[in-house]
Amino acid sequence: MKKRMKWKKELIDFSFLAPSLILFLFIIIIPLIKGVRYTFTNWDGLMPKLNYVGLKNYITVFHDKDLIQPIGNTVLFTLVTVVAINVIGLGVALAVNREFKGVNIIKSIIFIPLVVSLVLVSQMWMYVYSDFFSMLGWQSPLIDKKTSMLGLCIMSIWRESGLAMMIYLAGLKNIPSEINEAAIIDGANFWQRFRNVTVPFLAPAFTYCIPLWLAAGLRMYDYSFVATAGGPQHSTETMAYYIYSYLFPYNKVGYGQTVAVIYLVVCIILSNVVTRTLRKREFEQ
Amino acid sequence: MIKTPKNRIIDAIRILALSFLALICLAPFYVAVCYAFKSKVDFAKTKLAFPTKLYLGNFADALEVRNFFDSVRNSAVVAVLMVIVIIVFCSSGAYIIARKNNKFYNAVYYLFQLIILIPFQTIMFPLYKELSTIGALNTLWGLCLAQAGVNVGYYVFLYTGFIKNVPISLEEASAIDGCNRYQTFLYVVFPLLKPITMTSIVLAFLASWNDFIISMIICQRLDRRTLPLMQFYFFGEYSANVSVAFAASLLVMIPAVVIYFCAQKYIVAGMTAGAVKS
Repeated sequence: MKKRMKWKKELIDFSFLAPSLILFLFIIIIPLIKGVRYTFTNWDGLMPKLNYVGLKNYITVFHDKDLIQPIGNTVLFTLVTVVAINVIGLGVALAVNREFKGVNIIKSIIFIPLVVSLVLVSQMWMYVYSDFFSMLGWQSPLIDKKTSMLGLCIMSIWRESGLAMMIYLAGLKNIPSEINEAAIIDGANFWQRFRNVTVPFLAPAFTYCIPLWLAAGLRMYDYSFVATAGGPQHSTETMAYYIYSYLFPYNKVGYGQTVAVIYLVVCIILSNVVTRTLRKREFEQ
Repeated sequence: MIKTPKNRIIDAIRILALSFLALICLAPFYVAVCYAFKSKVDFAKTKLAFPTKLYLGNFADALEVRNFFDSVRNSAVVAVLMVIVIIVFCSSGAYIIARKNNKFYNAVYYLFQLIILIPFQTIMFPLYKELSTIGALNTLWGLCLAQAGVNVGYYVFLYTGFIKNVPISLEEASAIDGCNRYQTFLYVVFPLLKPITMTSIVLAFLASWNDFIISMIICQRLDRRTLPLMQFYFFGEYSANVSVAFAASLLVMIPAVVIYFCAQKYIVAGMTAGAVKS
């Protein structure tokens, strides 16, 4: 009797979790498992029967020369956006971390691009590049394959630096003002205070921000798809875009899914390594 | 801070630099506004010069475009449903994870967090096939489920962090008063979660309203397209008439911007929640 009561209680507790867990299993976990299964086939996405080919797809991936460019593009985009968004975000946060007239308006303006959809960001910037740049006599970066990826980086930096600013600002507000005042009295200059007071206090913010934009950069897809369709000459094809092309337009699901699964593993390892390194530094300081 | 001449100069530079930055932030909007508020002929002549008179023809044309209102309705329905699903599922799930705190619930919690690392492309095709077998392709409820499923991990994470700081004593008191767990959650805990619920409503709404890639694979059919998808095709089909496309985009942006200005503090609270602990 007592045991039954206990089971009933556990069941009631579990019923709180069940909806979110079932939804998660259905939308994420089951497709993930099915996706891994497809990597052992040469399925085109349409045939009713799966034809197993063993590890052939995995061997092909390591000989696929077409992969080099998307990897390079993704690395470039990720590095540029992670560095630029965090540096700009932190710089602006330091600049607005002070009461003066209009500071709230400036913060609001810098933050507002975040509410615009990626589709519209791409389209607005396409016309900024074509119309505004031509007024200044500049060429649109999206036309040249050497600068096209940077053109997309600018879109992302424009949209997301405001969020980085807000996160760093929240961290700065956490620094007790006595510590800064004490440092000033001790004669520390701006750089010394920045290195020895501000940075250690912002450690949790770094641990949050850097992996956030690392993951976002590695997944970048929308800008390539909307603004440049991967071109010119594949110069803006990212890994996510490459995988998409194999899954839908090329109908090579087996191969596309293989690249996707390997890429997933790479992303998880990278994110974990980076997060752990940042955490370790956080405690050392 | 003492107002020495040096400090004044630094302040002046600071304000100048920030104003310049704010201008850059507004520039793309300015281009969109120029296109939208000038007639085609006018734009060809004056280009990006400040619009002197307000021409509303583009907006009238945008409203008459086939399936503009379909898309508005689709986006609104999906966003509202998705917000409800997220709030109900995630608040209750996070509550029990935070309170049970045993091996099983913690394992589920980490599993949820894993999604933050999964590129959508990895599950895109199998999910597409799965939804097509249950007849959820090109349906709004299918899209809503997919969006909610992809976001569930993040909101459970937000809620759990918040609930861990809510004192448990109130719940114990209500249990002594004879409330069962459902009543305790509904009448005692959920009202206390109001700040994080507001944040989640705003963020989830914006995520759904602006989502492109999930809509793109699930709702391709013309009368089922959401706004970002409509905008995407719109600029493609109307490349000769960008003014109308921008007018439509500005209309679409209004709800997001209104929400942003009304709920800025909730947005900031939610997005900085993970960063300023400890």
